[in-house]
Amino acid sequence: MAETILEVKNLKINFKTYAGLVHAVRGVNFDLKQGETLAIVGESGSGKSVTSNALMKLIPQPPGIYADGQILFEGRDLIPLTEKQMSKIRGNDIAMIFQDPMTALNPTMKVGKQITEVILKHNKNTSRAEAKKRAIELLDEVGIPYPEQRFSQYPHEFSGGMRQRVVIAIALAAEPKLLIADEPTTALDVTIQAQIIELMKKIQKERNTSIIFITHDLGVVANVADRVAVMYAGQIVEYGTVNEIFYNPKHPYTWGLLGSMPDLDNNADELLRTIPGSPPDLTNPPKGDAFAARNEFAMQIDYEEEPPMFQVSPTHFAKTWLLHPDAPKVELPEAVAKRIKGYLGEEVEQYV
Amino acid sequence: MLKYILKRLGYILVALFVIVTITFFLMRIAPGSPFASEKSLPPEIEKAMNAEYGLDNPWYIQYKDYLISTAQFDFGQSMKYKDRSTNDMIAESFPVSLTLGVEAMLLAVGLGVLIGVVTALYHNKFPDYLGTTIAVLGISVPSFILAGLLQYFVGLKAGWLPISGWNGFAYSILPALSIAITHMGFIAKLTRSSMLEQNHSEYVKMARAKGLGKWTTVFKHTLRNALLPVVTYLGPLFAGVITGSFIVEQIFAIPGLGKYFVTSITNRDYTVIMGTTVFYSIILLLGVLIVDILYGFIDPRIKLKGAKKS
Repeated sequence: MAETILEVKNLKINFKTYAGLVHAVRGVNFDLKQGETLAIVGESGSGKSVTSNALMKLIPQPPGIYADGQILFEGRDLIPLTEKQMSKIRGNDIAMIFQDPMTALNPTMKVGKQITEVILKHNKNTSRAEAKKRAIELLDEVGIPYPEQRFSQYPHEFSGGMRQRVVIAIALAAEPKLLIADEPTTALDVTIQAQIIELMKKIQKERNTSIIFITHDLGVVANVADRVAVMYAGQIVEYGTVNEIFYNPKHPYTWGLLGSMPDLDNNADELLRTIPGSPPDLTNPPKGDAFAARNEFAMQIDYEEEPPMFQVSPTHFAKTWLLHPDAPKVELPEAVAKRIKGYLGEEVEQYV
Repeated sequence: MLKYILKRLGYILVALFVIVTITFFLMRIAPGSPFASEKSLPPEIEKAMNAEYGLDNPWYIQYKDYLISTAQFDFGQSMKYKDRSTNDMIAESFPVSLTLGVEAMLLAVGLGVLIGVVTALYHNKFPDYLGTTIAVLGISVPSFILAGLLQYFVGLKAGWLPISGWNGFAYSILPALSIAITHMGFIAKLTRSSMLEQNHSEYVKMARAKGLGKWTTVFKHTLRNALLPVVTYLGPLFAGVITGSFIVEQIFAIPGLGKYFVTSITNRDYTVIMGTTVFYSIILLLGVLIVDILYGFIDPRIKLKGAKKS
């Protein structure tokens, strides 16, 4: 078993706003092994980006408040660390790939310098010439043609996909152990998305980096992740390997997500399934299960008491009362069952 | 680049021609003459004076003469001060105003950007409130009040600096401060809002995620992007400040260019009006040109039109 490099325990993050205290992340637990990819999925506002920024302590305080919990990176809790100590970890041990490559690069600084900056910051003995050589190697590695010329160009001379490659090169510059990718493909068009995902898979294979992949695109998840955490209203509601989540989902929210994914088998006149309603207001999180109001299988207890994490298999957990031994047996919604059958039909050999 | 500058210089000439023309006709429309004063001159003498300065010619002859002498940068004799040419007046007083203006500029830009950066970095904390208060005070307190206060407290009461006159560096500090404070306030506010806007952008977060410290991020990343609006303000500021401030120069008894702008108009001193106007216009237009060239250096996305693509 590979070494655990990151362990998040009961992380709670609040934001002070004029409307009151927003409980953006409400007790999140997960861990990450070396060389593993964890995908965090969920709709907008579910707290997935806040969680990822919190890992690097990039949440401005105020208004952000680390209310509770621990972020153990290689056994060391990051939350009590000072800014100075954190700046040694950021970029060096944990690096981040941002969502929008159009705005993530400084428009007035040459691309090469934006890369060497990281190398020089975290390797005190490197000369400028060595850093430049490294940067050109990195540009080459992430698939940018003519890296020598590209080194001294400005971001506006790059296309979107090329810029995202530069962002990845910057993230890799100090050879981090953990890479946090916050929706790295959302702002790109589909063909470029595939290229970027292939690139990230290649990097992970070569360097054995751990990756946390934040996304709301389940297609991407199936492609890259080893394990998946489904987030809803600031909590992880289901947690398991990628096969468990896609073939044996247990939480009604995961059903909703899977069911609302379009695919080629959809009939033209068949409506795409949606999850009714909208996420709860996290200034006043609802009593009981946060998903109850949108859940067609909600029971009385869902409105009264928060469900615990039920264990489905050694690696699979879900936070829903439906898994309680006394709960009535609920059939998987037809659309979701059909979807899963679709996957099984395609990839049955892989799964069995 | 060279092509761009030449093209812009061409536009400047056109603009100058328009300015000269408008000034000429505005001068003529305004009633009165350089020789009108409480004591009316005998008609023969006035006629002789008009003939001497060519004011008896029809307006189109006068206009033509003006254009020719302006093109030669010879604005002629002052009509009010005997035996003084406009060029001499400018040559004599401009260096004084220039020194004062450059000092004031440096103060305004240096302090303004500094206050702007600090207030933005400590957004909604004590340094922000303090800096913003200073900036707003600077903008709202008129320069003549500030000049008076400085003269009274720093000059008279404390005796640290001379109250007025023009006799070396020490004499320039108080007037430079009086001119600079208002502009400093503006620059501080501009820098602050621009920095705050940039601070929300992803590349600043990215710089922090790289492990760069707070100040490194500001100086290496944010500031350069935040400075564009400030640079825009600098062109007109430069022209305004180096050609002298009438009020501040009066208060501190500084023999600068500022007073000629005002007195030449009340005197209907046609040649001096023309000279100072053209001079001011040239500096303003050059200032704006320099700002436009600076843009290209600060932000590589701004390509100068006509500049060769690299």
